[in-house]
Amino acid sequence: MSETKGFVFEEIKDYTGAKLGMWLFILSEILLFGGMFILYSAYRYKTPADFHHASKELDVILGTLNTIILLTSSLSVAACISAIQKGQRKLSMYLLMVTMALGLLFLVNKGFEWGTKIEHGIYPNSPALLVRTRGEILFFGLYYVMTGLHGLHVLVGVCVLFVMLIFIVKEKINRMHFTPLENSGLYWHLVDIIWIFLYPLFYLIT
Amino acid sequence: MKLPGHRPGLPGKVISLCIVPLDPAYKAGLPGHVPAKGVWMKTEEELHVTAYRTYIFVWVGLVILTGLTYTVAVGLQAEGWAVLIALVIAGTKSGLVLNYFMHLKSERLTIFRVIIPLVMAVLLVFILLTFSDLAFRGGVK
Repeated sequence: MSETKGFVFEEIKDYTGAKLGMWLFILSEILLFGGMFILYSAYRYKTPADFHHASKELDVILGTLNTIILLTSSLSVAACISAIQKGQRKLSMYLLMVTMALGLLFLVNKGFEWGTKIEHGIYPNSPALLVRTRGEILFFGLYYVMTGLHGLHVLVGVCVLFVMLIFIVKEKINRMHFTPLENSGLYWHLVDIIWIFLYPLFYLIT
Repeated sequence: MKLPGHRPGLPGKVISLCIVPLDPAYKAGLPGHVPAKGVWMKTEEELHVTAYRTYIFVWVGLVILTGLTYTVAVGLQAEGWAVLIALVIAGTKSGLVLNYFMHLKSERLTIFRVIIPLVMAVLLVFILLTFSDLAFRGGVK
């Protein structure tokens, strides 16, 4: 009879609990952006005409394109997780690279948008902005802060996904253990959801 | 020596743990130095591997809703309705992302399925309270 030295157990996986931390973090992020959305809604309620006027200066086409880009990146990261669950390692690596590329493309578009605005002299506390009506100043202030913070989240997400890619290459994430990837996917979907709300509220004010 | 309820982890099957009190007969057979609290029993839950096709359908739906938001915003003139419709569509889109991409639909635990609507409800209360203040303020901006 073999000697038991205490408990015998295999690798412990608490699949549900492993995602709990990320969900709690997601909730805090929703409240973070939610607070700014409340601020936005208050000022839009106060100065709707100014918001409408200022919103027309934003590039709707770029905004819509960015939305499609992020939605597609959400698709690719979700498919990436399915792929790794099915053991299709190469496919999951390609999909993850697609996600990162789309995220970077989003940031490039954002850069162009901000670049043209700044070229026209519109940036927080710029002289050209300060002569405008109060509502417009608020709109652009909110625009820069909210899309800026969101862009920062996208950048962080791309870095996190890159680390996940390394893990997949090194096979630290595999068919049996993929929760870091799933958590990174959850974060990325959150970033997408935030943009889903940012897009109509900034670009589509009629 | 195999523990009761022990099954080796199979690819695709996920293992969660619960602790059960030791069966007295089993406990009697254990060597003396094994702690008497309990033994890890592993229950297997089916892992939900979502099909690629589901993801693509959801993506198509999301793109269509994006187009709808754009069309409604450009076409509709009434400010109030446009905001409401835009928010409803945005809510639907995030609902799709949450349920299918973030796997909330296949989540067994109630806590996960409740937690997002709960946060949204909290935000809604904040917004309502803010507006109920704003609406009744005087001329002060």
